[in-house]
Amino acid sequence: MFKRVILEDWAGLIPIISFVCLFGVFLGATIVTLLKSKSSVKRLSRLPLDEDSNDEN
Amino acid sequence: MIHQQAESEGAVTDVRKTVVEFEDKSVRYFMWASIIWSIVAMLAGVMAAFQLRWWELNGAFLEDVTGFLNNIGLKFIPVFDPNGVEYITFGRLRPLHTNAAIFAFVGNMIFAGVYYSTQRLCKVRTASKVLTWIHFWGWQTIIVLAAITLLAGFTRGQEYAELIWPINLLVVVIWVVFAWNFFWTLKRRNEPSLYVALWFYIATIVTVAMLYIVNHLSIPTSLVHSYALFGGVQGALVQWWYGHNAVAFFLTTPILGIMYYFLPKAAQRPVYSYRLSIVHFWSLVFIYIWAGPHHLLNTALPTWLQYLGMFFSLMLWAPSWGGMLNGLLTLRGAWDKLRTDPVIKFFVVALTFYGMSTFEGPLLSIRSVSALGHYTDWIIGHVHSGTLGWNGFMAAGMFYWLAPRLYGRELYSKAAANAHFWIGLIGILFYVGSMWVAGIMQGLILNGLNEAGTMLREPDFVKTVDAIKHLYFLRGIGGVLYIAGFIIMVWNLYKTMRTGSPQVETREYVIPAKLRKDDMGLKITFWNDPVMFFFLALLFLVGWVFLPNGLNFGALGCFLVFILFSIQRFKQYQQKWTFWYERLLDNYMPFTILTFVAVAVGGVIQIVPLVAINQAETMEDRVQVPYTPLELAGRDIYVAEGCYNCHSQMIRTMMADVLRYGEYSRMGESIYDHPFQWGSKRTGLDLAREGGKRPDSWHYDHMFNPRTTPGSIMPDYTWLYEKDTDYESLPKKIEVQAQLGVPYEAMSKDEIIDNARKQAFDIAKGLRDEGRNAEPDKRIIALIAYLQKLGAYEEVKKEKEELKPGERPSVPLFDSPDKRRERLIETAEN
Repeated sequence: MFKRVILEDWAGLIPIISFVCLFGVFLGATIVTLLKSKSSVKRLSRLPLDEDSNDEN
Repeated sequence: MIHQQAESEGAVTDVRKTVVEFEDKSVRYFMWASIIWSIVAMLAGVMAAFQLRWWELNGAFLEDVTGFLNNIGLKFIPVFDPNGVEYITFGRLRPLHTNAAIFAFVGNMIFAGVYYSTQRLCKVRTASKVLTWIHFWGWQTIIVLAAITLLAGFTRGQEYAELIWPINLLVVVIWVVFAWNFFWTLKRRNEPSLYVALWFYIATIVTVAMLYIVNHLSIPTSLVHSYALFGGVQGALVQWWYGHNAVAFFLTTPILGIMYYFLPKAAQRPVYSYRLSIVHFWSLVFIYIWAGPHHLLNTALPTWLQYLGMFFSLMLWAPSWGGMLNGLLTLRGAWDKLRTDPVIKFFVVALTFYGMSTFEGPLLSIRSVSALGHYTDWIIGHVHSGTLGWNGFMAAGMFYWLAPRLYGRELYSKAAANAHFWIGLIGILFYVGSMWVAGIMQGLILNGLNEAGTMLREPDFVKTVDAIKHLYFLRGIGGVLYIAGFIIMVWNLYKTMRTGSPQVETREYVIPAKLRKDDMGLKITFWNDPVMFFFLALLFLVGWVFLPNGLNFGALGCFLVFILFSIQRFKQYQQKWTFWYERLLDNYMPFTILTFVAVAVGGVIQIVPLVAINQAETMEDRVQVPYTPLELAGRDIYVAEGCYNCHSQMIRTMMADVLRYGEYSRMGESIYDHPFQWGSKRTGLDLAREGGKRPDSWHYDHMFNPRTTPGSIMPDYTWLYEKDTDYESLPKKIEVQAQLGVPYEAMSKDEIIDNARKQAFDIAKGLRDEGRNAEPDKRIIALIAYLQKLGAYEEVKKEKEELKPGERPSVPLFDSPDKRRERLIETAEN
């Protein structure tokens, strides 16, 4: 079966490889996101507002 | 040194104070450049819109206007002879509109937002004043050159990629200057962590560079002309890989970055979910690149690419709405500002239109929906809900927020800003609503078949034009309202500027004496568990597919074992894995490289196989007959006049298209077209099989006065009967075409010119015999020669597949429809 895929239906591989890449990236990003520390998330999300609090300092 | 107790660990940290004076003069300049060019772009758009309602606006109206002025006594004004107003035809004006809207209006707006926010997010002044001003003046120079050359008819003939090659080089230089300035600022930053807005700016810079360079690869024939490296189906794929991602990485990602900075600033709330922004960013930049083929559904593009584009476009809905929701929900607890603050109004409605467009886009990417909407005004409506709603309103909101801070006083008139909002919003609704109705009407009428599916319900194309002309008027009104809103903004911001004064903002920051940033080498960027494990898993998977029997199952086994091992490893070292990503956010260069890898993958996987496999030598069924020198000259006239803006050359694999225009277009039938001219809009007929349908005299009469077809809205092309064909440039053009792989026989310079002149003479003689006053050297003759060649092909002889006893011919799964049909017929016959 795979010889036929290779020689004739080679184009069918491309979507498979693509989806594997996609889910790999998506899964990786999701894992990283879920494991990020709360304090780090809070600090980074407030970066644009940092200078406003700098004024108060 | 000031010793300060750190908040959480109780350790003593050395800190230092630094005073930063921001460079905002360039921000003011970019902002005003964007505003001025927005009016130019929109005026061109409104003019183009009304040209589709009243064809006289392509030049004939000038005769009426000057005649009227003469009649009321202003005799010193000469009556304008409209013959020869080539500079403002729709085919030349529309590219000016698109380039001005994308690169001049939105481009300058992006730079204003990027320079303002990057300094503040990095807590450092922009790295180089010199680079900033080279960037500014260089970009405006590009825009002026674009305006002159596009109206003069110098074009590459590809959408959003029309500018001629010397200007392309200037764009690349200025973009490198911008990138250099931006990354140098990142390098010098006093804030170690890269905020999400900066990720989007990084993605924009590297991806636009990649897209622009690859799609603009050309071989020049003169200072103002070149032929694209990629032709035919290759050109189509590369062009829409670029074209869609011009939308993605020029009109979306930088604006999302701007949204992630300016919306929290305006709402005084942090972004709703920083975690969501991580998933949003990586999935968006990875998925977007693949979506290009959704512009080529049901065409001669290989089916596997069409489905790839379709599926990735559908998946794109998720990260796009992730971004939209992240923005809208940032306002939780601050929704009262929607009532009181015009900036928030603009941002919220911009995000809403972003959500609408990014829902509509994936729907349009479904093949069956595309069958209805492609080539119609529905696509125009979709584009403008994005550009007017998302880009235009984000720009307005950002300018209204910036101006008071840049000029040190409140916005001159909040009431005027609110008026702008409502007028602009009504304008968008007029525009988009009328185009939805027009597009769906066109699609239904043009695709309508009788019950048996054997005949067109409406064979006359012009009837659809007639049916939607009132909707074209309403669309124009929408554009007028939108530009009226922007003119109110110009007045408001001008008054703010005049009654305020340019501000120089300085801030004092307390930062650690030793900043931990940019300490991640290339080795650790790639040689780490998450990245290596991903690529190893991919390698095993590919081995499962490619290796011979026995070894392939071994590879599959390795893959499964490896996955289990990875999970185990992750559980053991998860802190280390997540620490790697934390460090990545403090290291701009590794982040940039990985972003580039993410955006490059899609292009490589889509383009490389197509370019490698689908060349002229491997075409099956049919291959194009190369143009003669005169026909090539005519083709260049077709491209220069922007005919592709209204006429397509791609008959889709749909019954309605085939019944209306002839057999569906094969991949090989346009393989030598540099640039490809498949088109993306049918304001007029498809011309793929125009050759031989009508006599030369019909074309001669039609181009001089398209009203020989009653109801036509096509402009007159009378200057083609006065201007000479450029024969002297033909030898160089043929030489470049041969370099690009078009199989021309060897001809000397004189042979090429003589060949062209002889063919022109024969055509002109035929026309004179039919009573037309045709001169062989005029451009119209060359254009007729080209039009009469459209659809010419040669059959490709194929070798018969030798079958062993009992073996059936193979019918590959992913194949062109005609090849599959032939194989199935063979099977049935055998």
